[in-house]
Amino acid sequence: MKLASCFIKTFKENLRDWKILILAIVFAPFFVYLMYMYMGDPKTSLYNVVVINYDVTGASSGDLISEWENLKTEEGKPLLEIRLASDSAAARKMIRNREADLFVTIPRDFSESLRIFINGGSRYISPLTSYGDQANVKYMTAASFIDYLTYGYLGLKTGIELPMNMNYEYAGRGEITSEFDLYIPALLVLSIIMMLFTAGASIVREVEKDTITRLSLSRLTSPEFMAALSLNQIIIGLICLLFTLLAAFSVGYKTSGSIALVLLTGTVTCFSVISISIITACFIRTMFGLLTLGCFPFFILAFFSDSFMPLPKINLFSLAGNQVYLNDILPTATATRALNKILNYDSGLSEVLFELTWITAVAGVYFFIGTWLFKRKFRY
Amino acid sequence: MKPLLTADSLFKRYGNIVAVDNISFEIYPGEIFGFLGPNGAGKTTTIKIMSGLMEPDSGKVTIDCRNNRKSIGLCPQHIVIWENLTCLEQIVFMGQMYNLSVTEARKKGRDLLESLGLYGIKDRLAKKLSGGMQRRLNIALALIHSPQILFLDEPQAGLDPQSRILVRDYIRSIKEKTTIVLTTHDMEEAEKLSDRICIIDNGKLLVSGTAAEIKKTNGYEDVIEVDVISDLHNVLITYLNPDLVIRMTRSSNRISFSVKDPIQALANILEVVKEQKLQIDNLRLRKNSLEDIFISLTGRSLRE
Repeated sequence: MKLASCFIKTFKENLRDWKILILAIVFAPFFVYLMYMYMGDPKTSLYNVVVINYDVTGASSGDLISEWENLKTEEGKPLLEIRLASDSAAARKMIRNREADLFVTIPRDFSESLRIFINGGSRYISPLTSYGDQANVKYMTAASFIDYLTYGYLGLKTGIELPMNMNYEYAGRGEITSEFDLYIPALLVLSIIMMLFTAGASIVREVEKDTITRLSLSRLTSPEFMAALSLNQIIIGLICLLFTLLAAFSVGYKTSGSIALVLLTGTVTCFSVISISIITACFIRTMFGLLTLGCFPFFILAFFSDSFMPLPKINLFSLAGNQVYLNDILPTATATRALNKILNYDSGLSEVLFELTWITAVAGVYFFIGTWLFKRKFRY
Repeated sequence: MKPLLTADSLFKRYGNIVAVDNISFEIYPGEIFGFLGPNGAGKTTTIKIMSGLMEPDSGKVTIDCRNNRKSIGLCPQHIVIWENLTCLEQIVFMGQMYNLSVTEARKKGRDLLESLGLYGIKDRLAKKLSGGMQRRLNIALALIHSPQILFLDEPQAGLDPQSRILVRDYIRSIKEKTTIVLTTHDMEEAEKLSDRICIIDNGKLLVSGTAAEIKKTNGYEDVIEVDVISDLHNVLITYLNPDLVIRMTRSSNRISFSVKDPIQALANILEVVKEQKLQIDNLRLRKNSLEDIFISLTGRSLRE
């Protein structure tokens, strides 16, 4: 009864403090659209290749360039965007400015040397030169595509067959997963991390106005208060999650993963963020403090959950055959991994059970610390 | 009669500052007990200790209530309300937090709001109320569960005269069922509301009893107040017969003389005024007040 009343009261307050609520709801969907704007069509990651064709006759180089241009996705969209240039310095500058991912130079005698090779006059074909920035993750992918297509073309022309062909198999649905797809789980987690502000506000508001004193004098126990707060925030968190997912769907993101499992993961992740926000709120006394100092834990959570950029994994230990990484200390990082498995690789409950258990356990530890601090700080 | 609340040798220190210094007192059922003292005297700290919000460094508080802490109502000095809830919503919510059913809480909440002149704005968000209305709501929230003992910390601070009367009448009306402990630095308010008063300063209990008892114990002197227009206070003080004056205090252009024989002292003052050609704006003879007693006990005013 008291729990339900406290839940309704907190829910009303959250609705009426609509600025923070709106911020929490629209933040992650906004980033979805922002990512989409920069990464283009989610089903096509275009690799920009700048080509200088010095080939004199142009007979074979023209065909080769056509091969590159004809590489298409399952939806029939071109995968490589080929731009012809004439100035080598300008092309190198494009690589440094990340305006292009790969710069390929076709030598003057490419067609001629190929013709002579085919006629048996020589065992040498003038090599193509590729130039790129190794720090650009798209460089290696673009170079691999170009290598693969070039060797294929030469094999066809010369009749030379490679002693072995690679068989390619794909994780998950077998479709091309773009970088945009890989960011969606992190953005979903980001939408839940935003609850740090709504959940924190629910506590800080009581502290700032000292209504916590009224509650502590009443018959509402602190576990009841925490439960009402948590239920409230889980609902808000799930709303944020659904809005973010809808934003992703609206720009063409597709998944055949279980939405129920996404919601389950979202629920335990909400619980973990609520726990962390209780700890945060124990050190903050005003709403201004929450919106300023609260940014620190927010960025820590967002950064380590790969919301800004994918981070290298640092192994900590192995548990029941599962690797635990350093950033798994923050349950939101584990949540990103679980959502990625569900959404992009169609994983079922058994495949993410470890992650769900881990998030719940770590959230439990944070919740315990949070309630202990809360009791100490507010004598409630 | 058995006391409802007994405070025994309460002591509380904040760093080097002693906020409550070995205070003991008893509060009886059905009385209004007033803590009178200037800002920083230790009133709020004593209330916090009594209501269980703060532990004393030493000493103890015994409350003879059925449910002890849960039978306590507290109206803090500052406004403690939920700004994003309406008056009725928050009063019903608080009622439910004390195990009242929604129907009970609604009925009681409506009655309370009516008594405190807030019923007409029951559906207005608290943040949209005026300061005085928020103060009245602050009091209402402490009363929804019909506490056996109610602590009111400066209940009339920030209230307009009309609201003061409303709140004062309401406090008086509930004293049969609820024992009330209030703090104030307004001696007039303390005298009008309280059955018994306890004057504290610098954490120490100076005197306690009914207003009449305190005045009797500390001398039934009369006070003559003279407002001198020109800057000639010293002339009046110099020529006045010192044997007639027990104590004298000065604030801006007003001199207050505590006297045993008011007729003789008044005649002497008028004589000096006439002889020395002093211009006076106001001359008043009155009975001594709690403020005069506070000044006589501490050497300073309640407002200082």
